[in-house]
Amino acid sequence: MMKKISLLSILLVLVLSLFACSNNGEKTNESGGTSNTDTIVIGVASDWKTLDPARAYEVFGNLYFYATYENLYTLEGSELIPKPALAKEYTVDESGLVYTFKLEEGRKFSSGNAVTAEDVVFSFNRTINLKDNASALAKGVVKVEALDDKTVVVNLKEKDASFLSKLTSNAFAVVDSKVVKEQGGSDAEDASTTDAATTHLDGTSAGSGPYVLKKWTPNTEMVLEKNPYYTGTVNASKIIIKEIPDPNTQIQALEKGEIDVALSVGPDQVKNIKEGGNSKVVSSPTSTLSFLLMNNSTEIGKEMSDPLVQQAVRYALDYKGFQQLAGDGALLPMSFVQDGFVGAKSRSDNYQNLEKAKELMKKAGYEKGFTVPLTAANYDSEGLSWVTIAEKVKEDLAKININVEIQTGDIGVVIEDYRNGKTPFLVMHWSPDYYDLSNQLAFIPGDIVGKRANWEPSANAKLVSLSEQAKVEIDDTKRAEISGKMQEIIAENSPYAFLVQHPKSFAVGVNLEGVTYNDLYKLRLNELKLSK
Amino acid sequence: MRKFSSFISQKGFLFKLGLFICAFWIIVVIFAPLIATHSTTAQELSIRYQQPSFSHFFGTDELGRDVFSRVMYGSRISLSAGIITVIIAFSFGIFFGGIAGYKGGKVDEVMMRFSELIMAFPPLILAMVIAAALGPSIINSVIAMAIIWWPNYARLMRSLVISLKESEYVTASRVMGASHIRVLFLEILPNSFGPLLVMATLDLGNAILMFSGLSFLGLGTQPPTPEWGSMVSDGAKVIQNWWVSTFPGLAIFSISIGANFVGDGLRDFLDPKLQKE
Repeated sequence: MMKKISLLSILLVLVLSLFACSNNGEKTNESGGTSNTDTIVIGVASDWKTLDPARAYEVFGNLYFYATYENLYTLEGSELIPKPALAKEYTVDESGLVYTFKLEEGRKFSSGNAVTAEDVVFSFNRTINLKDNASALAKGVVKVEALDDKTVVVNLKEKDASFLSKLTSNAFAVVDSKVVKEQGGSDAEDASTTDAATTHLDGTSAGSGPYVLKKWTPNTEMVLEKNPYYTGTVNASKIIIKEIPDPNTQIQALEKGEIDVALSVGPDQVKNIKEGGNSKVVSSPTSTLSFLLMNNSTEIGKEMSDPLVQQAVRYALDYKGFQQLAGDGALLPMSFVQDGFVGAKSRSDNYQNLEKAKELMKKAGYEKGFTVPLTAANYDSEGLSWVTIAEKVKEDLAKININVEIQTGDIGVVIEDYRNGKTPFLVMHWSPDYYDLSNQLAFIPGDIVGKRANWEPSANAKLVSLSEQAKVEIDDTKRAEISGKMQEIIAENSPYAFLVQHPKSFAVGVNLEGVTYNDLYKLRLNELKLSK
Repeated sequence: MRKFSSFISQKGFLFKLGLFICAFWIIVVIFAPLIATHSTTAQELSIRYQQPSFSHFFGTDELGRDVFSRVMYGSRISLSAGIITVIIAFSFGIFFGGIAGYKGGKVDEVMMRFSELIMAFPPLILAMVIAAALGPSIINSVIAMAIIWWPNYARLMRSLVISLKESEYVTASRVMGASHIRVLFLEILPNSFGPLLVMATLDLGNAILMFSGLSFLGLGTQPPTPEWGSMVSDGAKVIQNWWVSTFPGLAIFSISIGANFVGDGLRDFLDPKLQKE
């Protein structure tokens, strides 16, 4: 009797789960209608924590900020070169420290207020004085002044070749100072304790961008509506951004027509999208790099700290394999500068060389090999799992007798050890905070990542001096030359092995136009257009 | 007592099915190298995510490895982890519960409150905490599971000891001068073995299931070890390529349900009350 009941209950569960599935489908079909060409629905797995532009520092942040706010300078298309937006033009004085911006005429905030130099000054000062995550990008700004209604002067602490690139991020988004002040906002020096406008900005936007925030329920949904005062192109008057954490569910929703964009999916999920169906695949390069870190400290890195072993590892890796795993559109940069950045070079096609790698191992005295732990967090870069990368590294390094033992771990723990420079051998990725060579200089000995690899400035004085030049050189041709020299040095002599520059693969409905991916802001929502 | 063979023929279909499944997996464990068609770790990126075919019975995974061979070898890890967990929990549990039940009084109180302390936590969560604290590896997750499992055996053993220690044959051996240890382990234990064995068989399936769960969460084996739970986890990311997670999932399902059917049948066999019906 008991067994009959248990069998029955299993059957019941099966039937119920089927029922639940079909029921679900019907329900979403009713409500999620995207037949309306005026509304575009986007599925994402975002990381939004706050929608206050002076605080936010999240990967998906600018997807929202580019829709609701504007900056003095902006990025367009898939390019990483700043173009004028709220500013018409800028001049920089001979010292390279004083930037003067002229604002465009006739721009208005969603409240109807005109965009003035005062708003720019308030926004910049608020970001600096809030001392939150976004403030990191504004560190070099000493003083911001309004000369008149349409002229802003920014004074820098030291020459910064990447200043315009930094201006394109949400840290420098211009907010409506009147509205924000009314809501308790402050740009005074004690703003970090007195400012109270974040709650307001989490509920509605106060910018001059194409859309206005109507509703945000964290981890569920965001609704944007057209800003009536915006003068540029706005194709869809309403945008709904739905949080769908599971990539497979996003693909299913896209194929059913419930959403128009499945943004947070990876190369393996889009592979099964067939041509001629409801959806198409978009692939675009990003600036995310995967690399292996080999700790330079003999105490921590042991065998991996030997420069000969480090070079042997670089020769042994099957870069084409990593390119294949990362998906269509993956690139192989020569070293630490991504394609799209100034002076970027690519890795030569026949770089992998097992003979040379074995020779180097012999020279280092490890002909018989050794065993080394490789740390990989349970995390992924643009859909490629770090553990998968580690498994591939294990396979490749076995060919030169290095026995890799993979140790997986929680991302928080792994990052903590990485930041403290305690990991001997590690799979990591680098995603820039702003899109300029200066950001990549973190890999130079003694800089952020250099320290994590225990790579002392004394180890390579030439690199350090080149990086000092790269920081301040405003001439692009000269900067490209310096960039190239640094890449060549790091490609052959560094505690890193750069694996692959990831592509972003995602899927959209076939009738969606205006889809251009940019690593900073992902998509320009006002350019998206449903044709029918 | 009836003979076991006649019992098998009398018993229902489910018990036979359970026995068949368990026998099947034991054969697979022993002959895995002969059954597997490919290496479990050899990668071939040109054949990533191939559908099941005659050259790859269960298809291939993200790195072009043969899923069939990985599932077959995976049985060695899952089954041994399950069996070792049950053996550790069983041994420690009966020792602990036996002493508590036999001594009684304050010793019993303290020991049983301690075991209840562990049982008060949700089992999987506690196992996750312990496994995460010790670091992911097969041994550590077996230790974690044994820690949360032994109180079950301790409680069962204690209740059996309490009911048996007043029985006549125990009193008789006490009168003949047998030591406490001898009475506990040579008189009481053999007579309480039946229910303990049933519990162990039923638990085997659950232990394998939980081990797969820990591996699914990344707390069990380390890649590229072919372990069922972590294989399901790998495949869950690419659900369109159903074969990557379905076959290891079926393996987990079959072995845990097989062990349960056998356990159910054994209980009927060993329980005199049910036999009379």
